[in-house]
Amino acid sequence: MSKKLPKHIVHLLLILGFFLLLALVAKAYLTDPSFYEYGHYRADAVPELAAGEPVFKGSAYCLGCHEKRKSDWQNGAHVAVQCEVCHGTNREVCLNPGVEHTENEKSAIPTDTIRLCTTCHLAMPARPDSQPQIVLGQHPFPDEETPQCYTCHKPHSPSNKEPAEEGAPAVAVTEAQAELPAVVAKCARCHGKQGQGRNKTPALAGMQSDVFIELMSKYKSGDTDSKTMAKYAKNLSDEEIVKLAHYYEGLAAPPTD
Amino acid sequence: MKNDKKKTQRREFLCTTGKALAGLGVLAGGGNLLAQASGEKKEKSPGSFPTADYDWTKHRWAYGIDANKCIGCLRCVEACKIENDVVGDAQHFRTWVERYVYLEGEDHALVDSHADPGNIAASGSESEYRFDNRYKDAKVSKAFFVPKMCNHCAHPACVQVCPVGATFRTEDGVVLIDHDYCIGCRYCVQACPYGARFFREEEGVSDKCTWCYHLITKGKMPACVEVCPTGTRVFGDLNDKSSPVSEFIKNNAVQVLKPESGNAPMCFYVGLDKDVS
Repeated sequence: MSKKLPKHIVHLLLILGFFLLLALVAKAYLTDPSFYEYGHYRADAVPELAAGEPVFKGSAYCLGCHEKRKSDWQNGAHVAVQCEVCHGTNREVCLNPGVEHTENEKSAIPTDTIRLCTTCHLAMPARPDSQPQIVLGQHPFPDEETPQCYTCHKPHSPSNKEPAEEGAPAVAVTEAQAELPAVVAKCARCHGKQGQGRNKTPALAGMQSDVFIELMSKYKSGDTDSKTMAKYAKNLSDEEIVKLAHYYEGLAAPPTD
Repeated sequence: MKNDKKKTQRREFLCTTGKALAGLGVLAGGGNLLAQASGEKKEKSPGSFPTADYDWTKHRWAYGIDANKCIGCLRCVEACKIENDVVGDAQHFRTWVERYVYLEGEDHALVDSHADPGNIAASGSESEYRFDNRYKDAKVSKAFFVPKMCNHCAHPACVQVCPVGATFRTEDGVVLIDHDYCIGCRYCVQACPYGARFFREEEGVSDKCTWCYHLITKGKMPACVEVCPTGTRVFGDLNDKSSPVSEFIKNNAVQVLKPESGNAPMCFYVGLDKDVS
């Protein structure tokens, strides 16, 4: 029993021990010092990942300079849409805090607003009903040659309501409206259901009838800058223009602010 | 006699060199371990981890998604790509949105995402993201969008399979990837039951959502939450009872994706349907 282990076994154990040692040494050398600090990973990787510079600055950053837009944006239905969603962001400018963006460089002004706006507002199965949506082809665009959403809608503060509902007093259907429903409906597309005017269109409600008739006659004769109005006026008879003039004169003018 | 002598020589040589190597190894290994131990002490003493202003033991992040509110605008997908410099093609993404459409009389939903060829055609390029309107004239009985991403599971399968400790769950509950340690074996891509991981071929590493760890450690929201115009995506700290996500979980009947997988996801959903997994 007191006999020593056979030599070949001792050698085998020595060799195993040697390799074990080699492995341990290799591990000690090759493992990052922070590896087991918090768990089975390199703890230094966490501050490395946390160190990245933000690219999206957030609307507060933009409004620092673009104060003019602030109240518009904050009081409209687009308050949940951050500046950079429509205007984009520029990685290079954002990641170099010293570099200031030049005008229109970082904040591109969208040119194709139909494409931009339909990103969220195109009628589509799967979009919840609470989302305002339009069917392209059925939605009226006053300027048919270069249709743009901003002709009628304010991009920074579109209203949640149908434009006719805001502020305009309720008016009973007048004779003119009853007589000319189709024509009034066409006007209402751009000028609002109560003729109160929209973003880019003037108010018709409360306009003096002779002013109205004079303007419309000009449009009808083609003596105007507005191709859109010329097109609409061309199809109106003199009698219809007079009726419209009286109809809009009878409507209460929208409050001016 | 000659042979015996040779044998002894070889034996002696092996013994001495072996002992010498072993001795060296012990010295070196011991030294290294000592150095490590002293280094640890030095690092742990000052302030908070991982950054000076952010202590990860004080936070427990979670994410909420209300599928009823999603309009499928894909601004989240775009923002994520820009914020995290993800490859700008349709096949590499950290978050995505699925469209589920049940046609009348069908039992199962048709599913597509921004990577669908029809949607790439609608957007005009692989680096722009847009759903086409393919169902506008179809008879649809039910349809909805479901945003998806890494669920930052409490018991993540991806971490379990990583052979090198390159992916891990932080103390504040975010599953991260150490790209310096990743060997590109893609076990984690296979292991994730949610398909949340992808492979960056150029660097040879796997990648996924980090909940914008560089933003949340600075007190900001992840980019996808920041840009979501409808409040579909909610993020916050479970340790803060009034954080958006705590309120979200308190006020809604929330579900998780594939609870049976045992991963304990930390993305909580409202408005899931039977075909969503």
